[in-house]
Amino acid sequence: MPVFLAVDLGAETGRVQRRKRERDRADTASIRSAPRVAIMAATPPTDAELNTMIRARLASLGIDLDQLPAGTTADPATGSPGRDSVLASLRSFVRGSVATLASFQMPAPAGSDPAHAAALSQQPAPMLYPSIGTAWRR
Amino acid sequence: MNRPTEVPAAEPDRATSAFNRRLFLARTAAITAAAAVGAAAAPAAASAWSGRTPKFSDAAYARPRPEALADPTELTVAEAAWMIRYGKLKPAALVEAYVSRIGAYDAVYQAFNTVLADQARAAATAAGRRTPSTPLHGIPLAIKDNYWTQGVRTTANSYLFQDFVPPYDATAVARLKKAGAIVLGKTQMGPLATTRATTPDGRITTVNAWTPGNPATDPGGSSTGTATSVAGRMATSGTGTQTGGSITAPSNAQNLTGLKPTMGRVSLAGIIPLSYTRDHPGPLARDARDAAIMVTAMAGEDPADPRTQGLPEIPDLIGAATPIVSRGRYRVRTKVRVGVLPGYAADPARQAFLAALDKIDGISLADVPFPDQWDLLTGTEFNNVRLPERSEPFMPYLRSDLRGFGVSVTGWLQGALLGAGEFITGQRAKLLLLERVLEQIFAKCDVVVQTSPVPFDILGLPEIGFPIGFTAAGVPIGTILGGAPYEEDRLLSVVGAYQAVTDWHHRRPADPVAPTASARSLMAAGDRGRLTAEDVAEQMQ
Repeated sequence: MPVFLAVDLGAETGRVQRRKRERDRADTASIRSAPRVAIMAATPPTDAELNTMIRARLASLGIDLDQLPAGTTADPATGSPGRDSVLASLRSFVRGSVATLASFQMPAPAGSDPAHAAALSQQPAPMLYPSIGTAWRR
Repeated sequence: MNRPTEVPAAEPDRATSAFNRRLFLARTAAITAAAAVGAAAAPAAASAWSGRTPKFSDAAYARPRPEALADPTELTVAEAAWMIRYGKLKPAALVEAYVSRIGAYDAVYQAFNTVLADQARAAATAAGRRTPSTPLHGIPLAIKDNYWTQGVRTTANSYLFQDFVPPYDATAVARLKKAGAIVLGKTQMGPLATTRATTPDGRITTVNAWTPGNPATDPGGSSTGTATSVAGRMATSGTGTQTGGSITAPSNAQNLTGLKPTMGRVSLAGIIPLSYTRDHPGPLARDARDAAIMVTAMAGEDPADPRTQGLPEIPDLIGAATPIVSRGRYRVRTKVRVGVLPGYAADPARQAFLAALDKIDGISLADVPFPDQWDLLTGTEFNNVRLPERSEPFMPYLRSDLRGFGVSVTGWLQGALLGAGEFITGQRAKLLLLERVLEQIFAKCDVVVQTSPVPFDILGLPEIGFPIGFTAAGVPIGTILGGAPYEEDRLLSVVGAYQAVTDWHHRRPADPVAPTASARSLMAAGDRGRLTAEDVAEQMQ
């Protein structure tokens, strides 16, 4: 059964993604062995929807963006940005970093049966401190 | 206690908060006033760390170069240690020479936000009464202001810590002091260690010591103040932290040798966190041997930091940084293959650097590839996996005082937006990246040139930044080597040998012209430029 990912990188980051994919074309082994996925693009969220999501997420953590100055003008006393400027930056972050990370799937070993690729991609473990891990694994 | 009397003890309301912030800005420009802060004697040590000082070999002591004898501030740590060991220099005289330079030039450099002149004098006098047992005995150091210092305000150049007086020293500071080093002052840094040094509201403070009249020259961030203090001969050596290049970049920018040890080598206990998995404490020094001396003192297991435990023994770093000389030729103690990444040698300074390396006995060059998916796994988006690590420990501050983050707030909000799933993906990708680095790079070499410090910061691998030349305009050019886990000795061996056959690292910037009254006025008005929140979001490490 194919794995479906709902991915929207957005127009703003598309160029960056294409450039990186071109640079990474040498990864033939790992790309060939990556899980076969069918991309089913969801409807990209609008700015207004992202604003609501961002505000709601932050509010759920107890962070009120209204602590910042209204509009796009920075607070002259602290330099902290206006909340509209921050929202624009956070929208870009969600469309870029969050989407890129969410869409990434670990490659399966080269030569893997494509039918097993998705399952194999689940196997690599996370490592918070990879360099320290080399010592602890000795 | 050593608390600055001009800083209010509490922040009861917004009006008072704004008042405090004005005081902070005023204070960071008032070096002379700050110099008086250290008059009170520090209370007895109450560090979280209480261990033993390592033994140092004789290689840690170097007979001074003739040109360094005339001015104690020109001496490297190893040279000053030799002078002190053999009774040719008193720690008090060394400290006084630095205090004098700070008084003369730091109004221009703005490298320090606190100078502990009287405290340093008292420590130097006490050191003069003891027999030296380490090369750091009586050596004045500049400490980045995110390292806790007992009884001395530690701000990380942030409003959030403007009143923070730590109850004990960071382990790294405690180790250095136990080895006999003297804390001369706390240095300017990017707010919360994000960018080049600025005030919390983004006003540029510290300049590159090589271009003191041009604030636009990149001084490297965020350990800027330490770099400028060491380069400008206002401290013999100093400490920095690197999350995204902040030891190697300022070292490269200011003709210094900065060593970022492998994650866990140096304890992070008592250092204000930016990103738990990425923050690396280390020295900014004048040469490889000084960097080795500093790390030897700073490194080691710490009960307060589990990341330091269960790691390989610390090798003989000082010996590694000291090449063998035979019949006028230098050779490294152990053969080292230096990996060269595609495109690295496009620059003439780098070509000359590689050519010089190739002539050193025991060093060979090897072409190595960028590992698979290098750009993706080390690019902006995967680099941003670090951001929740800064948001999580700051959650109380994010809830109560967003403006307290000043120009740096955006990165903390970004971190709060990244989901747990994406964070886990990033941690899985880090191990994948490390395995590829080990298999595809370090199978062919022992150390490797770097085109950016970020990939090895992601992985927690050691890096060393050091000088390899100057631009036509006289601005330093540096480069970075990266190593395999816990192989700082190999990095030091290459740089130590390179520095034995070159003299870039001995060059010092000219003294700045003392500021006129009008120049002081300009500096007070913040005319060195100002980073906006948008600038910080783009540049932050």
